[in-house]
Amino acid sequence: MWWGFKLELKKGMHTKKLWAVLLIMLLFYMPVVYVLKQGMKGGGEMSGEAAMSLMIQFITGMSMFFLGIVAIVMGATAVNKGIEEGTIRVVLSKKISRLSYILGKFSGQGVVFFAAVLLAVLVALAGLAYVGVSLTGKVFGDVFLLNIVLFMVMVEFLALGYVLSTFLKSSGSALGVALVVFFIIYLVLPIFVQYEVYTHAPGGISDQGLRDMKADYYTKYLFYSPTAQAEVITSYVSDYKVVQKTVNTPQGTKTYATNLPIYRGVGYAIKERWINFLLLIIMSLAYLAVAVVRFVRMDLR
Amino acid sequence: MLVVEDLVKVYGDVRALDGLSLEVKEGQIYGFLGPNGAGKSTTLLSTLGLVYPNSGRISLLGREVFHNGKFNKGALLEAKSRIGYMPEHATLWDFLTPYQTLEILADSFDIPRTERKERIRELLETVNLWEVKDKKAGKFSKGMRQRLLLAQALINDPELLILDEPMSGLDPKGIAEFKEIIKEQRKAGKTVFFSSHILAHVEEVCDTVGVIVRGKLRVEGNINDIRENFLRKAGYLILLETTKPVSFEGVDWEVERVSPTKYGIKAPSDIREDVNDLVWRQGAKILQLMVRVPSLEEVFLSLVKEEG
Repeated sequence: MWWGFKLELKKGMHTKKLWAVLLIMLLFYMPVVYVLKQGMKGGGEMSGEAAMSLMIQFITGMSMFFLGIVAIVMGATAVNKGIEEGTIRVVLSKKISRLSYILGKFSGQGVVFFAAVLLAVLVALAGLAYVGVSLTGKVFGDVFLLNIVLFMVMVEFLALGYVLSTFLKSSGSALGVALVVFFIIYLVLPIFVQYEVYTHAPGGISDQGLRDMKADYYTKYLFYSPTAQAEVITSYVSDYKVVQKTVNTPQGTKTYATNLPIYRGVGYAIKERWINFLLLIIMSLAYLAVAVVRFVRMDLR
Repeated sequence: MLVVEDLVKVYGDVRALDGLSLEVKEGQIYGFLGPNGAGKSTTLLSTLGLVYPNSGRISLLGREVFHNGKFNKGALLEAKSRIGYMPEHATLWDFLTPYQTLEILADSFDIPRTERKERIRELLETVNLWEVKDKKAGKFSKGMRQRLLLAQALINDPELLILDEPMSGLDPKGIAEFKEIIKEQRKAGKTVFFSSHILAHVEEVCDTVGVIVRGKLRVEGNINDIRENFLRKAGYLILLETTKPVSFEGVDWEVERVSPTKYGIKAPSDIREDVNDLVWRQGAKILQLMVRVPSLEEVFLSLVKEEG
């Protein structure tokens, strides 16, 4: 396993995959830093919680989209491209078993992603420090955990890509199918599930109730979609607190109860939605297992 | 070294190997010939466990690695440590230099670091890539890539070298260099099993040849024996030129008159002495008498044609 891992790591460093992943991540951090900076210009003060809340809001949706594509595409060409180029035949003619090769390759790519994530954490922290947010342990932990969730999303997409790569002989076809699969599980199916949520939600449901209902539906019907699970987790970074609000109207003063989101952090969200975090791990392993079983039995010609 | 018995491999509805049996003995340079799609690569890949045959038996270096539709993975891995393989149409990692490529592949054999350096240097010199050892393989020509592929096959100093169409796509100089390297392997006591669909590549370097057509071994043996057998079967073609026209009445040879004094004679055996007598009895003299020995190419084409 060590051999495939070492090769993949070397490949990651040489073929600029790490840098591509990092660049995509940074592209999403920069606007956040810019927005935070603009917010501070007006003399306002921004707490670590508010800055994190903003960062999660900006980053999760967009970066999951691009990082997911990078990961599934990398996975979808992992095996078939090696067969097309003949490198797999060279490698497996040596004293290397198929199992150790594919596991080594997968973990090598995973480590490349993790290295990118760690660098992204450093850049995010530097950005927060630059705009004047004090870097407390909680901010540090939240940035790290947010990136870990993104990392898990990438790992699951990578494993899903491996499944495609072992079933589709041509890397060109696998790329096309990977993009279609990605759009189906990232975009199309969540729309249907959301529609179901809104159809079945009782009238007058609170924001919190709707969020919980959506989380349950996503867990039940989109357990195979890493982006859906990550979305559920990040939707729990804030909790809702019922507060009384008073407004002055021409008819007089009115008081009503409303849900105010209170930032709790990524760690809290993972704890609340541990099932979704667990699903990210389980489904990554499940996809990987399918790919491994297929790979050890396939003809490499 | 390598024994294949009754090997069958079916891809969908195509029977790529149809009960193939062959044996490569120690120290042999075995040329595995066949037209495209005959099953050569499938055979080679099967011996390395890269393709799963449906049935049959494969023994490598004295150990059974495939039997009853299953590979003995431990035995196969063990055998692989003593085998070198060069695939057809392969590229190695473009982002690595030849030195790095051999270094990383040497890792899989646990070759000690000190020995490894010397081995890599020796190999890169053998395949004439030492001068470019630090250049990335992505910029290499086809010939250079093929030589690097050969070098990687030799990294573990293998006892058995399996080469799949090693000279395809090379220029004449590259082919000559490759043949030299194969001959050197023979001198070093290695066993080489290599496939080709180009007979000229095989004729010069191999002592034994096997011809596969449609997944079956049609002929196997020494090149000269194969040619001799072919001649016996297909008949001898004798070219004769005399000082004056002669008559062939009363003989059962097939005679074609090319010109009044030139003849093409097809006979079941070498009849040069009989022809000499016939010409002499008619008061003519022989200007030219020769048996046209068919090239291996002709033998091969005839076998392929027979299989149709």
